[in-house]
Amino acid sequence: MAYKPKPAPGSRRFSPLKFIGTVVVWLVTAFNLLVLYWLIAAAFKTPIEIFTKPFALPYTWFQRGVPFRNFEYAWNQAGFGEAVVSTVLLVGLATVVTVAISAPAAYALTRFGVRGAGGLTNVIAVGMGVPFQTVVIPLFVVLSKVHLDNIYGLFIVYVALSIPFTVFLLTGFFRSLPDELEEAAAIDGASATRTFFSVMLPLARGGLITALILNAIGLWNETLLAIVFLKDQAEFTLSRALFTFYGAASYQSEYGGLIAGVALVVLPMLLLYVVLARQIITGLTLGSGK
Amino acid sequence: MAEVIFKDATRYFAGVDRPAVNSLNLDVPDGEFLVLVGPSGCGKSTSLRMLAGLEGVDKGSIHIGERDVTEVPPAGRDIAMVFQNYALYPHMSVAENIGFHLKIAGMNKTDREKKVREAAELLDLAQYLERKPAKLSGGQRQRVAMGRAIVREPAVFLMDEPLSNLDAKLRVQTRTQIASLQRRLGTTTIYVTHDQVEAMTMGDRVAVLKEGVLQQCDTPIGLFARPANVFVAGFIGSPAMNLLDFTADTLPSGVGLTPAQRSALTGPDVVVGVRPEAWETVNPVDGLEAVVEVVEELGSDQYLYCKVPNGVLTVRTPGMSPWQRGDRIGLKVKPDQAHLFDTATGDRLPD
Repeated sequence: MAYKPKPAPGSRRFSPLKFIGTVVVWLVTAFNLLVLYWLIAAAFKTPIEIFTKPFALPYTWFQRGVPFRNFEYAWNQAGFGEAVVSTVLLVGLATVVTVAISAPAAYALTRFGVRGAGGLTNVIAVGMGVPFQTVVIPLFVVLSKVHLDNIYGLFIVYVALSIPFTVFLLTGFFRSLPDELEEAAAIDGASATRTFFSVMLPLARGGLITALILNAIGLWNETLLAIVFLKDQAEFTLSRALFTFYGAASYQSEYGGLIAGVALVVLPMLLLYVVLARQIITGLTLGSGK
Repeated sequence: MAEVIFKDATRYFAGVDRPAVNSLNLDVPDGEFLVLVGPSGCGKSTSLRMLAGLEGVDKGSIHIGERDVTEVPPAGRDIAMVFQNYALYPHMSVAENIGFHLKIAGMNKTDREKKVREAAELLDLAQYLERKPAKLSGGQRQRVAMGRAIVREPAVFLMDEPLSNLDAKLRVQTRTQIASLQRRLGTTTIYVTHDQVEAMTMGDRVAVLKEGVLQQCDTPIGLFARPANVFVAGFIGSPAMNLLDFTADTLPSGVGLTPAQRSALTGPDVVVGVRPEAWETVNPVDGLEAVVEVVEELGSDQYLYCKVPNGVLTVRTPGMSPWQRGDRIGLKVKPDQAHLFDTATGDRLPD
């Protein structure tokens, strides 16, 4: 039998606050799990099942031997197949380019000791506070004038809007790295570029991964800008395709396919988050404490 | 192989009027092990960083060998540095850490591996070459930092308190290893420490700094036997020298001023410095009367902290001596063991 260490005196006492907190946390968790269950179950159901037996396990499509019928419908009829390709390319490239620009910027801002670097960092951080909804119309007007009211323009807007947060996140990382490493690299004869790529960047890996994932999740789910900028169905992202599908599905009562579409949008990012949650949390807290 | 010269080297920090290093003049001959020692904030680390090129030089100049390196960036100075916290690259293996400079310098892979292996064998690290620094003990990390320095075969080694993160026992061992390694390689070495025992045991010469000013630079024996001023007298030696205030006319028995000393005196007051081991214990009536307050028994030695009318004196007696707390003893300075300083200037009076 494993030995159970005795808790510190006093820590066993009943605390009403702790009790309430525990109850609330479990209620929220249970609710979210229920919604998740409902989403996944409904993605395999017929519309009649969805409305008459919302919490039962799906059976009609399974009985007919086509369990993935809804997903097939969303993928083929509603354009999700093409949208997945566009989204993965767009989000992947935008995320990588954002980090590729932000990492050197954050390094220079924190490490070069340039006069005004602190102020400049704050100015960039202010960019996080501007709600992008307020600038959608001017952005669209400007970009349509230069014929960028398409997926390429959307790419530029995504990168630009992601940079403030990413720079802000990465400055925290670079600031937490010890000065001696740079000095050691300088004495070893490494140039500033070499120091950045061979010494500092590998050490900030945790921060870079966190930045990549958070941006990927944010951009994957982004809908408003996609609706504004994308007119050509061939360029539609998943969230944009879902929006169109939603409009069409109401008329055709294709609720099963619609929910399968929602699942296609939600589940990849949920999985990514579950797999990498630990990485993200350490990434967000590093540099804040010691 | 090169000598190191500081010429009036001065360094100011932003917002502070007093220079962190004030007109430092030092001449370190080729192959010497020079220790910079002093209390925290005395400018010893700053001096070393100026030599490394990590800190600018506001006035004066620094030379390594024939070259004026005042404006040369660190990479061009042909130096290697061991940092206090070692500054190993955490994502590189021991071999990559040691070989990083050689890789940047463009040495080919086989030569590099050979050099890294030689350095590793010298430091007993050969079996850890593939490990990451996080998987090493403190002493091993310290040796990797040393390896990174010696593999370069630089003109000068710079060491910034390299032992301060080791535990007491390992520090004593590593102290000897570093000193013997330096003597074997014959490379000029500048070593910074705040520990005067390290300074005395390792250095060919020791430079004592205080508030950015060089107080004295001499061999360990020279510093111990003839401290140039009250600060050095109090700083070097453990336990510290007893410093007693007297006037020129009321000196204790056994201590007297020579005519030369009397004429060199700028005021009426004299500081008499007596090392703990320079006291002779006699009958209370025959010497300075004192009461033993604390007895520290170390086995080999015994330190008595004795109360006298104007303070507390430290006295060193042989280990296992029979003294007890509360004993009355007499203290007398052994012949020619008193150090005399001018109270007004703090300087040593001529011998």
